[in-house]
Amino acid sequence: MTSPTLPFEIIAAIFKLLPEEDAIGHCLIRTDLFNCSLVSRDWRAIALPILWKEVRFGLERSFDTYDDVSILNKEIWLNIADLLVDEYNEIDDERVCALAKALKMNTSLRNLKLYVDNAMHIFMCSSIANDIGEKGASALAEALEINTSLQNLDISDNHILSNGAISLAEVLKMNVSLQSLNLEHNGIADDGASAIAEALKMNTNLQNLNLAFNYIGDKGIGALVESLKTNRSLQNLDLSCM
Amino acid sequence: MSDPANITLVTMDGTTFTVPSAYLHRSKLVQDWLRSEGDKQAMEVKHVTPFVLQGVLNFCEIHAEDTSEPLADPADPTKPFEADPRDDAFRGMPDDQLLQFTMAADILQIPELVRLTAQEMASRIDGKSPDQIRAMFNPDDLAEEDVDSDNEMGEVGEEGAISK
Repeated sequence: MTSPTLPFEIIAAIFKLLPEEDAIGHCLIRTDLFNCSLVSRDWRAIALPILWKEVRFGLERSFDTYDDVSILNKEIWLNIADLLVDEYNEIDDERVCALAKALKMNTSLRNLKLYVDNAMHIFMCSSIANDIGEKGASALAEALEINTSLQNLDISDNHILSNGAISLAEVLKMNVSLQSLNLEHNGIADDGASAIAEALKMNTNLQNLNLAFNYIGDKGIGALVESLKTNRSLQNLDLSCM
Repeated sequence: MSDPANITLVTMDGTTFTVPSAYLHRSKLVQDWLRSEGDKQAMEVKHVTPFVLQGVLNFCEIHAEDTSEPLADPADPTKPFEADPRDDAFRGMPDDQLLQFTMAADILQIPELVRLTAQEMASRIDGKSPDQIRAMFNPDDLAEEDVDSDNEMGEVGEEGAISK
């Protein structure tokens, strides 16, 4: 006999009764509930509101309904699950590569910075214990070659270094969707800045570029300034605290 | 109704159970039925098998004398759950049976039994992977449903698969 399908209220009751788990730092770890959210779409729709009071992408997308939840494909959810389950929520190159692969398939994602507001604000993805390196940046760049919908990419506080910036610059030359790119605190030096400057000469869509807190010297700054002569789209460029 | 002190329940396959009505004072469904259709011979309890109904009635009989306040919200995690040794039968049963009892508790609207079975379900989910949970619950309905629903995103081939 096929097992019966439990009604919504019962599943919600079970979720609420799941044992409380430990908190690591300021992050509340709720592995069981998260695993439940990966069981099926129905379960996910029930689990998410309990798991996170508010889940949103960037500032515009929130997960309040069933449709909101399904905007991301399974691979992205699995990655987020892995991130959450990992003891220290580290984001390393391997995970970013996997996320980038999933991104290639995704046509509706607009912002990549993922916020999770729990009772105690948990910021995931790029804003927690970051370890996106050169390899991760080049995987993201590869994904951006194919993805035509992403508008905001925030990989601040990582260490993609100049080589990572060069990979991203390559794709910036062709990309027409990205409007905001945040590369703050990434150890980018003159080489990386010069590559981005070259890309800015060709890019027609980027409006916000944040390169604050990097190691860009006179040469890099010079190249960036030079590129602004021809660039028509950039509205904000942050080069503070070099 | 032939005997106001007793109530007769009929399951999906026609099996009848006659028990004192007092046993079922916590079942909202039965109470509603007694008020509206109590003059009929027997109450039909569809979707519940005789085995499961027997178990539910046993639970009701055991707890018939309980004087605790009726549980308003079976899922209230702030109410501490005290394991009652009289309910050990529910803790030892296989997953699929537990699932059916959970359903029956929901159908008959017995909050105390919902609480007991949901609590047991929750403790069985504890520490399991999504695949294990899926196997525990409804393998037919839950498996791989996400793949089909991602048409909008395009098919994710092997390249996109994430190795755990």
